[in-house]
Amino acid sequence: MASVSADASIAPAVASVVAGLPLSLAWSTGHADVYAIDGAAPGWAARAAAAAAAGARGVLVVHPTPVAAAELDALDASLTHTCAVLDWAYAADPATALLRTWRATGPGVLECTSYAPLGADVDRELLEVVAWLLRAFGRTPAVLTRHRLLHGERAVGRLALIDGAESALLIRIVMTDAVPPALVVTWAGATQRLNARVFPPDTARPARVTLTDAKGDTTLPAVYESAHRTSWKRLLTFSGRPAHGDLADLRRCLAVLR
Amino acid sequence: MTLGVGFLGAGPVTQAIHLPTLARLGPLFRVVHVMDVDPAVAAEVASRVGARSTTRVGDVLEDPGVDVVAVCSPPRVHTAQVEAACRAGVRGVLCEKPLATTIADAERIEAVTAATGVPVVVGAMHTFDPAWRWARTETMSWGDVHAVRSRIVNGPNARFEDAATEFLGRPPFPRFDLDTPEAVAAFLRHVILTLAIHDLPLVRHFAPIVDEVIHVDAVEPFGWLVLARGGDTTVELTGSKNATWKPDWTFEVVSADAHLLVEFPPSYVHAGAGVAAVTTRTGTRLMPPEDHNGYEGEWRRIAELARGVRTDPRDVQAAVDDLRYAVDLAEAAAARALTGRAA
Repeated sequence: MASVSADASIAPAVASVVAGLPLSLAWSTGHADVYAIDGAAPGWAARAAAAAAAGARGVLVVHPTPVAAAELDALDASLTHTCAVLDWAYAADPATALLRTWRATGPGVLECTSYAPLGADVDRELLEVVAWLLRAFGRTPAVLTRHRLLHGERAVGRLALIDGAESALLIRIVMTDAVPPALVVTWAGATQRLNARVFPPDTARPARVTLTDAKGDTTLPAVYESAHRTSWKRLLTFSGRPAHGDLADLRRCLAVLR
Repeated sequence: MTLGVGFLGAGPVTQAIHLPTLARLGPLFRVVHVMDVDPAVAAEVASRVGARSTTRVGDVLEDPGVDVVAVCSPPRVHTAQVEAACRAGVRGVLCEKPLATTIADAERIEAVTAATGVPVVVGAMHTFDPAWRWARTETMSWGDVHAVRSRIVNGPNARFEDAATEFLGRPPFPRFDLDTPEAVAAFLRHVILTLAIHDLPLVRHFAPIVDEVIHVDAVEPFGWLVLARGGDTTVELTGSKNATWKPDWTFEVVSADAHLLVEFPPSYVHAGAGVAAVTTRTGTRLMPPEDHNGYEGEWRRIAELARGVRTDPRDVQAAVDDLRYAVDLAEAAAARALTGRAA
């Protein structure tokens, strides 16, 4: 059983997870074993470092936003006995990891559309998409060229889903209040297709992932677990051991955005 | 009154699209003459419908039984054949897309239709598809569209042609090596003027001016990506030839508070209309299902024009403006591929 404390701004989301992991998590009444940090609030890296310095075994950063390299360096240095897990909105969805065993057979056209409400943080949305690509395919684009728009952004580049075969990549951050937020990914090569629709982590609505070839569709299993709960389970697995993998991934993603 | 139809070109489009469509339309039309450069193809296709066959364009245009000429030949000869049909004094011309391959040629067609009064309809089936007609009405009040996307992921043409007819004389599908900027530029011109052009009139409806092509990309064997901008509206054209069983031909429009998605069936098939959905914060409205498709719409329009039931000069003007838009976009995309910079 790990005791939990959280930034007030994300306490409701954390409460939902604590209720869903009653044998593993409980709210702390004093010193907490694990801290949930609001990644959308300024200074999240410093607060995570402070929690580690205070003796936390784990920190979970909910919806991380771009952060300066120096702040990441300081956080990294503080994690001598603390694990850090990044709780991405889309990349942490349990279905995303299922794609790691999928292999493209050649190049194709890859479109990732993040539907977000008007006024959303474009940098955060783009970071989420790049993090999803990394979690799903184990790769990030070498270069992204960004085009800011009145209601969103487009980012273009290439992503090698397999060695030696780059797909054309279009990332669309489309802001509208007409449709609910979701990440929609389509990839079409010469003989395969991939379609994924990933929903925000506030519910356990399962992502829909379909792989298509000439014979038909393969639908990946629906996993009725929210991305938040999946992230907490990862943290509990790692908790107490220094683990910097998520921060290394964040550095890779941020390097693409800059 | 049944209108006599003469075909110039008896290849895939005539065999798989127009003959089955005309059969469904019953007594509106009767095919009376079929021309093709291959005499065997012309004779066989003509025999299916009890028509005369020839290898000469003039035989069709001089046939007093021909009221409507269908130009289904290679695009490079569209202009000359449309001009000749108009000057021959037929009642109407249905020209397969693209109407022409250069703006100058399109303007020649504009001039000849103005001089002769012969109506010309372009076989841009999506502009006649009931799904688009419904969507255009539903979106009439939208004023702040900021994203327009056309995605065409489609299987080999042969699959859909074989689903529509028993085929004779199929031409090979073009192959593109995309290893040089010049090759990519040629590929993008081809894709925009032969495939994406189906949706460009729809795109132009929401993004009437394209200021610049921001980015282009192409991947072998047949994938493309074009990102353009007109004012605050992005235009995205993507797609690929894809051998999976599932096509994906979608047209999407997004505004601050409304979203349109139209799903079209593949080319060649006779599967009824596309389907369309408009979503706002209050819910989603779906288009009622329709069994007729854009191909039927094209022919019904040319019938109205040929009979004088409808006399709308905007058909030709809109077609020329659509072509101007497509050619400009194709050239800007090609320039982007060649130089890496906006044209």
